[in-house]
Amino acid sequence: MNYMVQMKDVCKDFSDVRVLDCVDLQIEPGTVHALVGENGAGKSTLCKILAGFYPRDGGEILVSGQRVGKLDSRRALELGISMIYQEPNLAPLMTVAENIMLGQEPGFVINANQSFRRAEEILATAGFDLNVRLPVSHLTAHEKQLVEIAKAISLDTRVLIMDEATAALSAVEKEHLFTVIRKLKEQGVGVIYVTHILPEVFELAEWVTVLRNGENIGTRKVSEVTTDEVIEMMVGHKLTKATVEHRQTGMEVLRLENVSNLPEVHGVSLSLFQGEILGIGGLAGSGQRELARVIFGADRMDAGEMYVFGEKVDFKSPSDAMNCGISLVPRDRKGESLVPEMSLGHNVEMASLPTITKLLGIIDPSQERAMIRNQIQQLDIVPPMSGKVMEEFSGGNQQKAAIAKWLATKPKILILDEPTVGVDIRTREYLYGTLSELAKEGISLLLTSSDLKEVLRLSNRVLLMRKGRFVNELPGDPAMENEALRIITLGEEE
Amino acid sequence: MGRVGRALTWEAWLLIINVAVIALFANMVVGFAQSPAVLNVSRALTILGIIAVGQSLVMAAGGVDLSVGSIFGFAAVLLAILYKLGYGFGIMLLAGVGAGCFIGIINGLSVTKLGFKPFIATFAMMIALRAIAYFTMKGTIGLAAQGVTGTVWTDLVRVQSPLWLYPSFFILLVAAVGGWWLLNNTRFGSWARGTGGNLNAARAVGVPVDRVRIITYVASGALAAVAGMLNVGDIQGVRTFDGAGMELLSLAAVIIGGASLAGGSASILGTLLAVLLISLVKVGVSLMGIALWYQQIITGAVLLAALVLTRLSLRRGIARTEKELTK
Repeated sequence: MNYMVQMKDVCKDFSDVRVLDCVDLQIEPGTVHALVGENGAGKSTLCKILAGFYPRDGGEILVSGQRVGKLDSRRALELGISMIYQEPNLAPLMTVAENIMLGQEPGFVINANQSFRRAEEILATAGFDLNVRLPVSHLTAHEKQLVEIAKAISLDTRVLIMDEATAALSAVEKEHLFTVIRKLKEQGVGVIYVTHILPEVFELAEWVTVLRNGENIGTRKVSEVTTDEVIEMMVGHKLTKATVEHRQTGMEVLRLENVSNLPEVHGVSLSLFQGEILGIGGLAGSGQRELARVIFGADRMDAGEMYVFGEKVDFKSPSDAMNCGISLVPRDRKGESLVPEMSLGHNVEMASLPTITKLLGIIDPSQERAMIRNQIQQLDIVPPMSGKVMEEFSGGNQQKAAIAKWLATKPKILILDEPTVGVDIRTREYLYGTLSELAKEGISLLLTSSDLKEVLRLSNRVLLMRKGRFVNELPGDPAMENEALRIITLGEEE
Repeated sequence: MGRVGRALTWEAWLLIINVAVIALFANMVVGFAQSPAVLNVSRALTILGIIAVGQSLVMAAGGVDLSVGSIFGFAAVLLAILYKLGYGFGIMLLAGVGAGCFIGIINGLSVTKLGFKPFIATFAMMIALRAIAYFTMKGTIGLAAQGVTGTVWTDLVRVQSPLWLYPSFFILLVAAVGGWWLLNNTRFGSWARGTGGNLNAARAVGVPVDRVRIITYVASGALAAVAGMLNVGDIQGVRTFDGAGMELLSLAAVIIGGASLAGGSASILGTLLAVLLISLVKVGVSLMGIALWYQQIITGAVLLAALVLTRLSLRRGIARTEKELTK
């Protein structure tokens, strides 16, 4: 067999920690090769080595049978290898067109109109509709992802690496993207597809490779494995699903009446009861994030009224909301929640410093230690080292830390905005269990998610959101998934 | 700001502020509208403007160059020494620009290859170069270099430029138009803004980010050296402190001009309008006969006010476009 890419015994260490241990990977032309594994398994690192972003510490890479020596981004591009990163990797102040054309400008002098036209063509080929003259900072997260994808496929790509590229996409856009991938496949492009969502593997891929703790656990033909087998390979044992119990709920703790956060949220009303998990489901970008922000006081209400424990409130800032016992775990843990350069301990205590300080704001070290230890235990953060720098933790443990940070404020109402995006299956199950426990203790949870399975399984009730409005309420029952999907995608073609 | 206010770009606002300041001074200050004062404004504008164009390029690519003031002084000392030694104009020019480029390369290398933060790397260069200037002049405060302007080139431009205009103003024009064109209409400009906006993204698509950043420091060093040499011709001599403070003034001008503090964008036109504002205030206030330290307080206050306005206006601008686009 002629492989497009062969990686043999590839190793990588980050400051003495082995993150990849003699990993092999072969890519055939015209196939999709799925790469799965829990957070921290080494998927992204392996991809980044192939894209020339990190140098490898051992092993060899062959492209079309030819051994490749030093591989940097430039060399990788020359070899036809391009990568779509997990997080949009764009220059915010440049236009969509400038970002797409960056690095492939045709000559020294740039004709702006010509590059607008070229960028429009590229987007049209991908089936995306965006204004190429806008600065990227004006786009939403998922529009940025579209730019990334368009950029990568516009290059003369023979091997395309997609690292969780669909995480921010809506169902419709995902279908578009899959069509594009199938087209590329017909043209003989080899695709490495990293994902947490196993159904995508079975929909798209010919091969699946499972990584665990930096080792290749096995490569299988997708037609010859089942979902359960893949999961077992990923976690190393059979996964026990967390039990989610729905409790009897108490008094009303939060009420929204016709609240708007324009232009994303239009006249939304809801009631949240004590000990309840209220889910807010919908396609990505339906206004869930903006709704969460307005309740937390991060954005001002444009209209409407809000009551917390029966009292009318008008939050001017998040600290007003925190004084009323409301906390928000934002979805963008790197941008809005954690300080990557600070230690785990300092991140966890950041939102609740007043509770551990004495006179004049001096921190009480014994209280500080106790609180941090408590939170690390409660969320089972691994490794449980409070002095370790945040960015050295895996994505799943970073998310646990983000939740720990807000739990430490002892909220009565906890809002979680997409708490499991980019989190591996095992951590996800763990978080489900934890959230269910919290509700049992009487905390009221407001959970937004574009993953319908998740929101239906966890919540007592689910409000479905479409284009900034609530369109329906369903009981929290996984069996309602088809019904829910029908409701939120209704009118998409309009 | 009303409807009209929101429709204007930040550059238009700066222009209005400049016109207002000119009108104010012209009415309040005797002699402000006369040719010696105008000459002084155009001189200050030229000297600081040339430096600020270089600083804009560096900041667009995500860096900052704190050594420009010292490069300014160093080039001046070099020029005076070569002049005393009897070298001709061509050699002096080459040596000065060459030295600026060389220092720029060192700045660029210590930022890219050694990985120092631009602020630290160029701050170290700023202190070291200033020390070399003191050392070379053996502790004296000044060095006269009468006749250093008596060259073919300066004679030529002096003859052809009107009395009220600083003869080397055209150098600023060339630098500004060149800088603007480079930043907005060329592949290099796109690479520089890409590098400043998102270093990893630019690197991932094969942009030679190190080379791009080094080139911006070289341009900044060369332009600062040119400004320093012009200043020698102007004051007919060299002082060890020449150029001190220029680094912060140029930085302020680029920021007031509307550049992003995080890198990724800079407006050459905005920068020049900010330099004009700084020059107007400087000349106007000194004509009012106010003591030096009060002058500095006023300059500082104007800078601070302009900075606050910049941030307010840019934030509003972004909020406005976002609301419009999502409708």
